[in-house]
Amino acid sequence: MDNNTLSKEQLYRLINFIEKRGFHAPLVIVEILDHFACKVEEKMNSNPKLSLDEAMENAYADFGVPGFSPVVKAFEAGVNTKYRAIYGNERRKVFSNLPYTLFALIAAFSYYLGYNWCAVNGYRHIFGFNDSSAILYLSTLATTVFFLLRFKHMRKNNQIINEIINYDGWVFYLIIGVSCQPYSPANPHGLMFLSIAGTIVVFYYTICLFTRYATMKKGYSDSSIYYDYLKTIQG
Amino acid sequence: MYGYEMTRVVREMTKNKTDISESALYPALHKLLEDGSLETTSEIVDGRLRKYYHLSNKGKKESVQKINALKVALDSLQHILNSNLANG
Repeated sequence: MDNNTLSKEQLYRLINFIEKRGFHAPLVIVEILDHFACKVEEKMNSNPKLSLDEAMENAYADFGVPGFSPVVKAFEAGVNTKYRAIYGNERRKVFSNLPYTLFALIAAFSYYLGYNWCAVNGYRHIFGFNDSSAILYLSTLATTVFFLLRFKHMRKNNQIINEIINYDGWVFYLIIGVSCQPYSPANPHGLMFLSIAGTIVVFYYTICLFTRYATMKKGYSDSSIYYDYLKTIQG
Repeated sequence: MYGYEMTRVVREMTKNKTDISESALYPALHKLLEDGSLETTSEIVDGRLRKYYHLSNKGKKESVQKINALKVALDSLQHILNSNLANG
């Protein structure tokens, strides 16, 4: 069986073959590569006259009509489930970590004071929103950009990182919602409701940021092995 | 055991009568990984990054239970087939 082991150059051609079938993400390529390479070797060993191209086509035909898709879908579903579980665990850790929780509480309380102060003093300089809300909204955009720059520029096309960055994305939309609510000075209950709602959102969003950062670090570390491996093949 | 090895071993053990397709194997493996019944380790073999699947402690316990359940089901089936054959 092992009398014909594919060389680095041949593996590089296999990677190109996989990419031509529409799978460009490094994690997916590595997931497929070993199984596909074993099949190609099997074809070449059973018929030494086969060229690499023919062996690749024959091996690919063995995957059936859907090709690599079922393997990829199963892999992506597995990744999604795994990192959602990690995210949940990390969130529990952040909640039970005093410095993180304290930081989130301070951020939330600062927002509460800022919101009320801006509402009472009529500070609405950005699109007519309460300035405190507008700053919060811009901060969420800034943190998202930070995450993208911190992780994505180093590992392109990393679906683990791309997925994690969207976790708890509904909090982001909630922030936009709270920021856009008009406040009427004639209704003090409205001020109370909006400031408390915003404070809760800020607290949870801060917890989410710490959680997301920890999960992304884990995802980045887990996926490094795939990228480093591909680098050795692709040069 | 790695993915390709599983398909090969099944083929050899059944003398080419049973062939596990990739589209059946990998979704099943990932389901078992999600359940925590399987664990993986990766290492570079023959210049390839190979993923080895092995049973976790939970998987070992469950596999014993499931194999026993399968044996009971096969015995029942055998019993039905035998009694049908005996009755013509």
